[in-house]
Amino acid sequence: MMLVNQVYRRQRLVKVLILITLALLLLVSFLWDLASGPSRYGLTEVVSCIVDCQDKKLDLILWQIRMPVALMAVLIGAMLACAGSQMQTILNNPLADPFTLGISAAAAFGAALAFVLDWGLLPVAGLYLVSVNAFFFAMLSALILFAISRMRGMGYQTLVLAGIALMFTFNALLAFLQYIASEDALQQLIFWTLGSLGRASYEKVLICAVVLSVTVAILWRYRDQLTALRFGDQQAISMGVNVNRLRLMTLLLCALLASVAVAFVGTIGFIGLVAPHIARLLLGEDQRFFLIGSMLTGAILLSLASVFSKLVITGVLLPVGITTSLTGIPCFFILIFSIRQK
Amino acid sequence: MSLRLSELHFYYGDNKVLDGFDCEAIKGGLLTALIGANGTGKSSLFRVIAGISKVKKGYIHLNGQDLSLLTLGQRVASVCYVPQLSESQIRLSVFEALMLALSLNKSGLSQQIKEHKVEEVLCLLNISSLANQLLCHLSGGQKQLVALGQGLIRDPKVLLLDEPTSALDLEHQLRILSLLSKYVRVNKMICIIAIHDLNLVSRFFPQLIALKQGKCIAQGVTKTTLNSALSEQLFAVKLDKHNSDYGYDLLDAQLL
Ligand SMILES: Nc1ncnc2c1ncn2[C@@H]1O[C@H](COP(=O)(O)OP(=O)(O)O)[C@@H](O)[C@H]1O
Ligand SMILES: [Mg+2]
Repeated sequence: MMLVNQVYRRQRLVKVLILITLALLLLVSFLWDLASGPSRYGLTEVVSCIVDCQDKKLDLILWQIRMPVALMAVLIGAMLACAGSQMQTILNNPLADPFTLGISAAAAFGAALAFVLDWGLLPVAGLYLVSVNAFFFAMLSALILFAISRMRGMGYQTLVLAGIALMFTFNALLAFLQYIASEDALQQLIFWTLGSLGRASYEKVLICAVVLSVTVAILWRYRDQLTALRFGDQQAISMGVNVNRLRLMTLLLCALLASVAVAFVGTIGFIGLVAPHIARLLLGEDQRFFLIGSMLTGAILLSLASVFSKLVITGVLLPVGITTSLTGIPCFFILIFSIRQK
Repeated sequence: MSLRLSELHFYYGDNKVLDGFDCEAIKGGLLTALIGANGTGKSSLFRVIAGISKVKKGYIHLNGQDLSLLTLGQRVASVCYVPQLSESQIRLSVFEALMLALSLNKSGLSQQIKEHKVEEVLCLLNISSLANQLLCHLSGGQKQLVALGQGLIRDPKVLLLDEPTSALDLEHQLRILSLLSKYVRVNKMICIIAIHDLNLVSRFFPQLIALKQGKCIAQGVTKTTLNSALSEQLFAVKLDKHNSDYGYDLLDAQLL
């Protein structure tokens, strides 16, 4: 018979191997993403160009067009999944994510104000007006959520309801703006709300990378506390977790991740919801594995979605928001069914 | 080791749950039963002692030290509350759950020592066979044993168990309570257990506290305190030593 702790260690090893597998899958889908596009350069050409580039045109396409999009897909996927996984953790609700709790809707409304009325919260003009507006409205909605949660007698269960109310409110406001919008603005707005990696740039990649690493570094410090939240507040407090402070901090970090993501690529749903579920099924809820696994899964899903957005209609780049659910749902169901059979 | 609760006042809104709860020092080394009808505030009292809920008025002293002066971290290092059975479905293995409880409270220990301590507790509670199962796949009673393990592994000075036997089978009720009696005696800790089964109280608990309408209405040696008068006062039920119409009196049940 095996000793108890040997089984425990073996289970941990298996989880590490799962994480490594996910990382390899991510690498594959990242390379695939680089190797697909309207100009027909395949995998071998792209890989050889990364090492040592001869073809000037490919050099330009790879580094100026495909690379930022592929990197952005990976980073945004990881950010949305990270935000979703932690919102599910702190709200103890498997349906919580930036999308269902209205943060994305708020961002979309902010962006719509810029498109339709050319009006911004901050006096920034030009290209960044949309992003800055989206960011501030997303943060605003997170702060409203938080203010509601601090009202007397409001539990965090109420927060989920408040979030759903926010989502409907901002969606209604958004619909209003759509109704009065000019044709041109409407076109832009719809494209934006569908979510698109098309406007990726190294600058945005850098911002996302910095935001994500800072957030993950902070969350990692509190990994045990966050895991303990799953046992309910009473038990978490009696294990020494300052639950209110932890919730506030995590909520703000999630809002930051979601706002930056939505500001740059528009509203992409589904990943924040499903990636954590996949990670939970594969790896359990110890944040050591759950957090990393969620981010890897989210990155894989969005990266694959980016590939398919180029493949579905040759020569046409679909908004990635459309392909996200279509690639993610099969993955999710395959996993559910394969686990159920065991 | 002694725990002194004086003049505790605690409200939920207008609902007075503890209304000047006051009792003599509770001694360590012996199991203490906390009895009272449903909804009288046993769980609330525990939460107040553990620092989860803040009292309106009153003091809690452990060995003369005022607990309200401690930080949350210091407080939970000495007082540990194990809540009533919870319905949460958690995808953590039993081993991971115990490791977590240990890591949060004794972060300095090496991985090796932590694993060793977890094994000890699993063995003590006789649940080694569950070690690598997920909590969400366990029965209510098994979850209760794990929650107890999460408390024991932290070596608290004061252990507050909220109806820890409510979902256990007869064998486990007897096994766990006799194990706790021994454990508490050896470690000289204070252990208060909220419990409804008066048979178990009269069998395993040398001392008891009775709670009614926010006050401590009886405290002392179980043999003399637990009587028909008290039961009538608390539960409106008369006690009769030999009144088992349908067979066996569980007061005499023996573990094999
Ligand atoms: N979270 C809460 N909010 C408001 N009232 C509560 C809450 N928890 C308990 N109560 C009330 O406090 C009283 C004592 O509850 P509790 O301490 O759980 O009793 P017991 O554990 O003895 O059954 C009950 O009347 C209950 O309705
Ligand atoms: Mg109770």
